Amino acid sequence: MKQKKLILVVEDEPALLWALSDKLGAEGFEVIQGTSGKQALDLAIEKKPDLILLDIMMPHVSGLEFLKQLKEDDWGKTVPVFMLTSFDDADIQQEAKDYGAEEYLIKKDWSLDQIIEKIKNRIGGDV
Amino acid sequence: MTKKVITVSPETSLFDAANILYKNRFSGLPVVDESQILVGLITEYDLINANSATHIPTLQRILKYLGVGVKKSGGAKELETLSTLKVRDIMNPEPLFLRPDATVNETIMAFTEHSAVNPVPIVDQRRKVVGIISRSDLVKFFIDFPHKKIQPVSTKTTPAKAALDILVEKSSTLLESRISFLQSAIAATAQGILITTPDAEIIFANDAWEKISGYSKEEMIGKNPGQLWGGQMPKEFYQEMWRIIKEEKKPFVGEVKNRRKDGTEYWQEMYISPILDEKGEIKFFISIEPEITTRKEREKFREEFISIIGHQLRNPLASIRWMVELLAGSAALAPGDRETVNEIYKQNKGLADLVDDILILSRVSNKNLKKEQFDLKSAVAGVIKEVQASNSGVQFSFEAKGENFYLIANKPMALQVFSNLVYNAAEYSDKTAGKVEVKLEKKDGNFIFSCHNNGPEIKEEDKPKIFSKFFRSDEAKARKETGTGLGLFIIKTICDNFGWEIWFESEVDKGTTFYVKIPKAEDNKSQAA
Repeated sequence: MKQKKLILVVEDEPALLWALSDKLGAEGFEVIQGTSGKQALDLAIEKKPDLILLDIMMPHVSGLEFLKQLKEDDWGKTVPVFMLTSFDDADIQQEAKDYGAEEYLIKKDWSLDQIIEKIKNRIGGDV
Repeated sequence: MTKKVITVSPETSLFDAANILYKNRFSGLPVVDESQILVGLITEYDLINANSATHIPTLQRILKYLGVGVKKSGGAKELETLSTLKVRDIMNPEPLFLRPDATVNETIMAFTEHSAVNPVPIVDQRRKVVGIISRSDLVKFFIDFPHKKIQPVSTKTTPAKAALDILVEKSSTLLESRISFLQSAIAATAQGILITTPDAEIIFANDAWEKISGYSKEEMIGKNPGQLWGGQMPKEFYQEMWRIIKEEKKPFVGEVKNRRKDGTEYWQEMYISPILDEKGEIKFFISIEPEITTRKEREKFREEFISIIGHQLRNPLASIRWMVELLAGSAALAPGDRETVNEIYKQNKGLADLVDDILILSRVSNKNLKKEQFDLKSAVAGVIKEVQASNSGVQFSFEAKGENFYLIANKPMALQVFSNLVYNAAEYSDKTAGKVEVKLEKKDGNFIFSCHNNGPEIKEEDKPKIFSKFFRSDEAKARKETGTGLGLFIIKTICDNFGWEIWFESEVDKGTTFYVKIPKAEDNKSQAA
């Protein structure tokens, strides 16, 4: 039996979370949702997803802080993280890359299909 | 004394003499014969006291007539009587005079002992006029040399000493009253005024400056601004400022961040002018600085406001886009609904683009944009690659003549210019065989970027409008349904802010070329300061 790839979507905006989850589900991924940095970090360590889609501007623990803490974890160092944000600032982008983010995607520049394609290229579809 | 002496002859008409006195604001004129030998002196005093009707009001009337012509009969009659009078009729035939080697003391004595005398001609041994000296010349002498202590040669000459004391006192009182007038004017202005020596040592500060900086005058005098409120700007800023005021000896205008005595920071607009002496050397610097913190804060608030709104708008716009994509991907969508969904998608895209453009514009004028050095050649190559990816039907070429296209600027903003131009060129190139040629060259040390396409020409009537905001040509509307009409406006705004020049050429069957001239590297460096 094929095992679905697990994606953690960290996003505090419900509409975006819903749209992303819906699309990922339709493309054959299993989705877990994080709506704040703190809760998402616990979830990540516990479930060990295959890839993390991460927003930056979130209440309490920001995406960058999440990333920093995640990369302190042994498993966390290995998981691919794609930043998915509306924040297009060169400094923030550099900071995210320095912390270990593999991609920095500006939401408005990417269609859902293109995002799925990126994910599939990185971790493949079904196992 | 004055060496260029205006003289009259005894035969000069009183009219002409009065005219010379009046026009030159002289109080008296030496009267000389053909060989410039002094034969008399004619003064205002003589004119007033002459037995005829030549008192001042009459004189004024005469001069008025001279200017406007004779109109009244009474005036004409009066004029007739006066016109026969000559200088010799009323001049003083034995005027007081001085030799060129007369000491200051003797001069002062001449004036003090003969209270009605003014001016005094200076003559040589043959009584030939070589100069003239007036009371105001003496006063000026003391004002110009206020530090020069003039002591009488001998203490025995008591009248001279007394006279000197009176004059020195008079001139210094005059000087003091002038200074106090200027001081009260300077003190009353709300703008900070500071005067320093050429070595930046503060010698004067006004009340407004005390208020702005928080330092008292006593704390400021003798110090260097760098020790007090300065040093908050990058080193290059001050280097550039000193270069302009000290080496070029030109005024410097800039916005500067300073620190008050209590540690709070404030922004000032700064105008520094070097004041030069007769030799062109800097005597001191005068700096006028209205405080602009409130304006700066307002600007910052506006920038942040736009930035926050912009980012807050982007998220929901991205949600709409993705949700519409989900809807469009649904097989259950009725044909009519699909059109509606596509329309929502387009409108949403237009709105997202507009938010982007507004965010860019809000940042352009920010003076604190980070500047870095980068290679224009590889940056442009990158831009072309990106545009190529979304315009596969268009043929691109890139030619860079030479190496080292390094410049210092805010990179994202700079790239916005090239990227917008290349995108535009591709989008509006020939529909079937589109071609875009990008070139980079050096000319007189400047970089010239050019981007040519083979699309339809820009219409003559559109040419003056293409850089205006929200302008969209018919061609643009036909080619691309959504568009903010801000693309070229943004490019122009960025270029203006960077000191770059942008222009275009467009002709039928020849296509359109946009040019950007980037000033030579030295200018770029100074821009970075």
